[in-house]
Amino acid sequence: MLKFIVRRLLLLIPILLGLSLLMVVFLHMLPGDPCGAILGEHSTPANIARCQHGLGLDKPLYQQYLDYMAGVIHGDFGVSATNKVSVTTSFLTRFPATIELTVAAMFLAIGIGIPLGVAAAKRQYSLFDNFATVASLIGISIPIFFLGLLLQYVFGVWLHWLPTAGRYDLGTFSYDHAGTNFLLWESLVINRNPAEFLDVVRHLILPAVALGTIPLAVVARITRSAVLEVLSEDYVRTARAKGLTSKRIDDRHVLRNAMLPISTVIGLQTGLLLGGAVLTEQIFSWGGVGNWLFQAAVDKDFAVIQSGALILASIFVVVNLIVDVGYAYLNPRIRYQ
Amino acid sequence: MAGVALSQQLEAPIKGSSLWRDASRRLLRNRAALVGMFLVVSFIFVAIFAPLISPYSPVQGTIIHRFLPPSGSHLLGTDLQGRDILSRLLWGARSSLWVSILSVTVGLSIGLTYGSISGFLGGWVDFWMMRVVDIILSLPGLLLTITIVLFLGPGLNTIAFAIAIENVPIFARLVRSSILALKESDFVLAARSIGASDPRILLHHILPNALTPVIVQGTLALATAIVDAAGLGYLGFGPQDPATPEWGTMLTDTQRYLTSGAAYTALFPGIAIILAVLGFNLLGDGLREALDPRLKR
Repeated sequence: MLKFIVRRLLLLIPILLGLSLLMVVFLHMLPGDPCGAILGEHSTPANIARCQHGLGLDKPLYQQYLDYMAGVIHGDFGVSATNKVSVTTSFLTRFPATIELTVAAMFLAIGIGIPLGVAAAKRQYSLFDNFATVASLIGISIPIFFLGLLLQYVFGVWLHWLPTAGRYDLGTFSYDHAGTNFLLWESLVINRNPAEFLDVVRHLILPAVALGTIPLAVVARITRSAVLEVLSEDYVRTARAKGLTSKRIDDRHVLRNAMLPISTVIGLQTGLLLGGAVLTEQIFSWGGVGNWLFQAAVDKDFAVIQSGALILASIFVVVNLIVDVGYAYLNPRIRYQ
Repeated sequence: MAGVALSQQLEAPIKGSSLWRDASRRLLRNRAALVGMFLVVSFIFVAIFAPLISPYSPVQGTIIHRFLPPSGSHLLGTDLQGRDILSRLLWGARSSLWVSILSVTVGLSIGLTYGSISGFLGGWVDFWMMRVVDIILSLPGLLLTITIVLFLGPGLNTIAFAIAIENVPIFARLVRSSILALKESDFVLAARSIGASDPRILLHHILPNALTPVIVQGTLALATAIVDAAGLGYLGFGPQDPATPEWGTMLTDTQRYLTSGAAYTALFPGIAIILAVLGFNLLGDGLREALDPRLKR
């Protein structure tokens, strides 16, 4: 197992190096000059030259890459061209928002998706199964931004049940100096204020439902097919034949084996969501990394796009690594290949 | 009599059954897939014949006819500028169809070639080619497309190209894994033993057998492309030319009227996107089950 993990960790090095190289070259290749974008109407040839010198863009590409990587190794991911804030600082203040949203969305996806998939598989071709299958297909087919708008309209504007934007009620609470920026944690554990916690949870519900719907549908579908596959295995028939109760068969034999593909899908979906839910964060003004990188792209803020994408891609790769290691742990056949 | 019938049966020519004939039979028996096929065919029909079937111009409207609710003369009502929503939706289908077909064709062609080479050559070439795929797959997808569209400029072709780039690694991986499995099969060994060349083995023996998962993934990718294109439109990166209606852009333009009693203006583009995407998803699922009957449960 240790050998497997070490081998996978070593594989990370070329991927991360390649990733950083690709980002630098890719952004260099794109037409459009970052200094032109930053200076806007103030761009004169002299100003542009000064700006390029300031950002190191007048150096040869390989020198730019080496300078950049030297910074990255020391934890310096550069400075935003638009607001002069360091990319590391911006990322660290925004990533907790994205983590909270991802965890809430995956909580819904797993909490509803797995029981739904199991129930559908156990009553294959029943009315319930057909309903679940159609519902999950529709769930996969609804564009997130349309679902988000509908949720805002129905639960915010029409029923007035839930807030439709932001992470907390700006008029009542203040998180200006919130240490971790994990508002669920800050409100409940640090401030010990139940009303505040409830407010944060209420803000979280609609974006989490919008973001969690596709993973929910994907998890329900994979659970259904995985459980069906295990149910037809010989060892389940054997367990039934030796007189085990159906609950024991489900717990010990069916779910345990079906969890292999399900856990892989859950890991992959989590990695995808952590990459910034651009659309969801835009619709609900969430203020996570998706929001931040979207704005950077609009502003053509090269330093932020480059480093932000590099950090997110690295997180994705590491999450995938954890999924693979977990998979190998659960399934010994993978480990010895 | 029974003997005659039996001998007639025995003399009747044996009907061959191919993979495709079996698959299409299974597909036509699958109700969900038929619904999907109906939606897809309607979508393509509407996209092709939009100029003939649209009741009004999708671009021109009169301001005095703005926000007319659905009625006999405007089946789906009119928008802020008095343009007929139905006509705009029908024309919008063209944008969606064009982007989805172009992006999947480009992504599939590059991915297929890349994956075939990687899987067929194997060894170190395969190892490094797949690391490049890993790198592209690890980048946040929508941000990659947004960045490409932003720098190359808006337009349907740019959007299609950006979505195609996102598709390449998915197809490359899929083809490679099929080829790795097929490479060791007996029919490849047989072809090699009678002296077939590498390109011949790849093109005539391996690839045709590796295509089934690609067809399924291609259909599902058409659905994803429609959603992605609409998402870009929604974020404001759709075609900037007002003469090119696009569903995502229509949704953005009208979402603020969700609360003002003209909710239908935003509702219809959303429903159009769902129906088109659902069609391709149902058809893709049906194809998967039809082409690989082991999956049917």
